[in-house]
Amino acid sequence: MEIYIQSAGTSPDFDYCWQPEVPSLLTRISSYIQGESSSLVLARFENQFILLVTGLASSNKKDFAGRVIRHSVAWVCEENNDNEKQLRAIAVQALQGVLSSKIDRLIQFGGKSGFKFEISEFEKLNQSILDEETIDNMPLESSETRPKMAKNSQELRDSLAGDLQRSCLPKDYEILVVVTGIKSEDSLIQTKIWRSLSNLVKSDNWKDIPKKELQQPNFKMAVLAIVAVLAIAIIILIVLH
Amino acid sequence: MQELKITMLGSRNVGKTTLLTAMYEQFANNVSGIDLQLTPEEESSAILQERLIELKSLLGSFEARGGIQGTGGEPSDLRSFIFDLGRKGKPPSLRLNFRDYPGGYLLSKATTEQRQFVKGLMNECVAVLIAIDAPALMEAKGKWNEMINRPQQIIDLFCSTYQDLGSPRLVILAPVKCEKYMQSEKLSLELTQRIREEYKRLFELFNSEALRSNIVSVITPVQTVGSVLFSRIEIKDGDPHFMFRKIGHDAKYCPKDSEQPLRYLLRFILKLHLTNNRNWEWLNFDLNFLRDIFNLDDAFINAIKELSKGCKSDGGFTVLQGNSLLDI
Repeated sequence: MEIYIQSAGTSPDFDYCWQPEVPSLLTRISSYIQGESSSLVLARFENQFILLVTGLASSNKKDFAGRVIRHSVAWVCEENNDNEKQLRAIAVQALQGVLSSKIDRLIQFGGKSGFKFEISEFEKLNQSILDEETIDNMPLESSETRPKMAKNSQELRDSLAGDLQRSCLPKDYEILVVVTGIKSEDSLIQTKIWRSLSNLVKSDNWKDIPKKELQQPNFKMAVLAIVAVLAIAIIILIVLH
Repeated sequence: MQELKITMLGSRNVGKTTLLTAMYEQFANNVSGIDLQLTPEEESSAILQERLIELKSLLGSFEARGGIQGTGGEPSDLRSFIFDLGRKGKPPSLRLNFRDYPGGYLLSKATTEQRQFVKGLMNECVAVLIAIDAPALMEAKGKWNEMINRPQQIIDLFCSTYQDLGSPRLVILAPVKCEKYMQSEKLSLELTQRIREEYKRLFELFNSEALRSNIVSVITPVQTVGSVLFSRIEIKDGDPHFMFRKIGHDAKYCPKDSEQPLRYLLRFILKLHLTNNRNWEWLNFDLNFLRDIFNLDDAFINAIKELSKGCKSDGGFTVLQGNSLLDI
């Protein structure tokens, strides 16, 4: 499992950056969240999982202007049952709000980037989280495979954590879970997401996203593209004749 | 609706987002009587509201300190602050897209992708807003200016991107947190003098033969909180901490002149429209969009003209270059 950390040093010379490098799948998920808020994305692309947790506030580390340092962590791994179990366990703790302090303890000021950490310590943390959590592999009921969204609240984050503890992840989604601060309902509806929580969603309880709303812009674009291709083909045929 | 992109330039923690927050929060108050409204898009509105709450809470303690939550991230996840501008009670005529990015992108450690991102912004934006931390510039004989404002990196960025410009650009230097330096004419002149000294190489570039006719540069000092004054610098672990004090026991958040950059920006693009220089269209920057913004709506033009009359030009506010491109 690859682990990537984003943090910053205390001096103005050390702004936020990823170490050891920017995770390759980051660009495919970062637009779903407000990065500086406490956010979580769990996704799968081409047989790889990525779990991104951002906005993990340090309890005691501040930058030169007195601003709290906020860490982000990304876990990237091959898609298999063991890794799914591991990522679900980490996501459960992130949603329950108990991950921040554990991550913060593993990151210190210093080093070439202004912060430093030992990957082996993060690997140990993965194992200890797995030991602490009971992760079952119940199949999802068909009614639970539908995409749902709601306003972000601790109550619903706990409810989502319960789902992740109990059940396997649904198969036919790339973006599985999005939990974030400021992201509009419209922008979240543009993509098929199994479970999404945002401060800007109006519903206080989980609500189904009607199928007609899902990816409608893409559908419209596809229809337009087909019409355009047909029109060009007809023009070419006319010209050739 | 046509969109106008503006780059927000400035080093880490200088106060770019704070400047935008003050600009939005005070716009309605500062331009009352003019038939214009500025409406943030849903996500921008929510973020600015959060920032506003943070800023107001900074005043809760006597020793208010600069610094709200900073902006971090990779180019792929950076946000825009989007505002729609139009006449009151009418659909908006123009979308303003302020591209915010982490100040760290100007650091020597920035990745190639991050540097390319900022250069790309510079090329596609008709205006650049440079936020300058005024206390860092003015206090301790400017000892901390290079560390906080990184003027040389900003100048180098312009040198590498402003080449053979095909159309006019507006560069607004906006010193922020400058409440202390706007208390008298003498202090405000000292502020503009310090900017002229520290950014001398930038102004020489703007005044070069190749760029002279296409650059407008102005200084618009903004009092981003309004009710605090710089107090002192405390050094902790070798880093400066700029401390502020409230001007009164019950002083409230009340930014001043925060709408001035927007007045100059709109004055500039209206002038571009009125000038209607067809040569610009054949060069690397397409200004056709200006026709779409203004042509159909004389009332909107009049509202912008009215707004432009409020551009300040004394007491620290200075048009350094390109007066003719602001003359409407």
